[in-house]
Amino acid sequence: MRLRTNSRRLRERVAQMYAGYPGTVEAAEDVVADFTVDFRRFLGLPRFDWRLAFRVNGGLRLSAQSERLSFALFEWGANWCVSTYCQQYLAIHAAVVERNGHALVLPGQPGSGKSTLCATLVARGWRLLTDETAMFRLEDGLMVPVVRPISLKNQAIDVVEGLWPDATFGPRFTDTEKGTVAHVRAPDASIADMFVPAPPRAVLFPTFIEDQPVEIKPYEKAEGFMFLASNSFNYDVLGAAAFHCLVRVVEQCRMATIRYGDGTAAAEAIEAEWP
Amino acid sequence: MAVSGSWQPDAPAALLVGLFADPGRARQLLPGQWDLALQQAQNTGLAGRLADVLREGGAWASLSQRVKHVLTMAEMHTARFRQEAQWEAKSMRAVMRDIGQPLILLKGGAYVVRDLAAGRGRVLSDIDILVPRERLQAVENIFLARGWRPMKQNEYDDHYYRDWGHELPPMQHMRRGTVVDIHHTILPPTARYTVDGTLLLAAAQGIPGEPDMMTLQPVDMMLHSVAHLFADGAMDNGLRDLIDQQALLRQFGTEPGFWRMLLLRADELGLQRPLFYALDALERHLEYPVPMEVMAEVSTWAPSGWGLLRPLFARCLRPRHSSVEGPDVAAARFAIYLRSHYLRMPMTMLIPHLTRKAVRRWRQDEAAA
Repeated sequence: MRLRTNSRRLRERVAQMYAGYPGTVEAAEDVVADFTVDFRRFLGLPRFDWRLAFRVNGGLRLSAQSERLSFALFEWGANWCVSTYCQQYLAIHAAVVERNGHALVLPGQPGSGKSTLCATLVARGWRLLTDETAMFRLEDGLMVPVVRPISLKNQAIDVVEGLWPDATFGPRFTDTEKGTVAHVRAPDASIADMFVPAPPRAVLFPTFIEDQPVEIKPYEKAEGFMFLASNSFNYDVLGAAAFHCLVRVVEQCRMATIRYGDGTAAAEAIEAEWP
Repeated sequence: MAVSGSWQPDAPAALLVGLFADPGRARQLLPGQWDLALQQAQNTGLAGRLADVLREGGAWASLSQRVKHVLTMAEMHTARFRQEAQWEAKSMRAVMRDIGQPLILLKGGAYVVRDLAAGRGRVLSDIDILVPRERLQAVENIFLARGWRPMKQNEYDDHYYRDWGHELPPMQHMRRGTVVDIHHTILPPTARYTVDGTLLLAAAQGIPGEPDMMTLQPVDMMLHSVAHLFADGAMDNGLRDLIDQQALLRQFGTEPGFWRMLLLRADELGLQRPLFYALDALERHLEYPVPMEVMAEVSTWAPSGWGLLRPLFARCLRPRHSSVEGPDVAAARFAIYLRSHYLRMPMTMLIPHLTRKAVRRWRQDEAAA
């Protein structure tokens, strides 16, 4: 991805949250990028506030937001690009973490707490592959990392801050559509392994319920297949190839649901279940 | 194919068209130039077509891994469009069989079912079909019966389509979400350029291996694309349409008698001037080798004031990308937009039509406030 921007604020924040990644934040003009995101700073009228206009690949302006929200807009834009342009993998809305050579896929219904659970596991040493876009290689079903900052909302921010003191947090963005949003930089070890794929071992559907004791139960494979397919960004584009890939994943992986009220207890149960 | 060697890939407006004119030039490009060309292609819906042209032109092997990767992504998308279009065509043929009418495909749908170069790597949306005017109601009824619904139009637009237009309001399949545009001719009857649909139907050709499925004859396919681009709309997909025409000419231009037939047909259908515009643009922007005697004849169809119109077309035929779209292009697009209104309707209809549109929009704004 190539980033072009005349916003110093955005540039600095991206440098901080993507420190250690290969490549540089400066515009690299003699490279063929998968896509180019452009954030142009301009003075918005009539309120006279600084705003950023977001474009992809020199096309139409897709969005314009206050510069105050610059990093949140950047992450949102990058998500959009990844789900639109990455067609060589089957992309599904889920978090993926890995330990001892096996990947755990956490598909995300809204309110499931997948990002929080993902962050909790990563804080405990699990490798982060992605918090948002699970990528399956079509030919062998291996999971390809898309290591980017984990995004957290509202109370989750405080919870994760509590159990992950070493984490690098981005700014808190209040008053967004989703409430308060903040991002956590991926751990150095996860960034270092960003080109290392992992075989999926289990698909775990999380549901957060206040005061719920941890319960892990098996989930019907056929239902799991349908859920994953309907939560895919590009299942319909890839057609038959996506079907076969997903069949392989569903056949090879254990499928379960986890209900929990406390993230740490859930993490402990998961680590016991999949050592 | 031998083309002039004076191509300047550093000029953003010449970059993409230069590749389509001669795919062998792919070897010359630096990564930064490739990056821009790909962005321009993607934004204009031409990435898949570019991939196909590079493959056909023997230039694929010389591409870098990165470039191949980006183009392959586009090809995956367009392969999907192609598959869906073929499926929809078969499904619509079955519908039409119920009223004993063959399915006659127009534009992209036709290119795909005939497996023409113009249909490879193509972005497709609606399926366009042609039916005899007297059967329009029967066709609409059978589509309604088989699960298509008219897309939401207000009463005025609906009346505009049916009374003055050349097509029914678009219909969408309830479950699949695909859209069909049912035409009785290729240009509005009220427009400055208009074509009698029965002439096109009379010359329609079957497709080998596909009973009850037809397309226009090759010269009519070419003239339809030309009419759509230069005699009808606002040139929103200008370059894409021009690339279609290049592909059609490459496909059929070597067939004996094709050019003579193209000129005769343009005369018969009253589309000489648009054909002149098209061949001029193809020669100028895509370096297409139009036979000299053909160019000489069509040039006699140029209008006075051509010098004013030509630069407007040139700007509207550029790729959709910030590198080539300055204020002059925005102004040209607006002028062509006005021209499209002028072409579609005589003044006596245009003034009341625009007034009604303006009043309706004003009323909507008032209601929303």
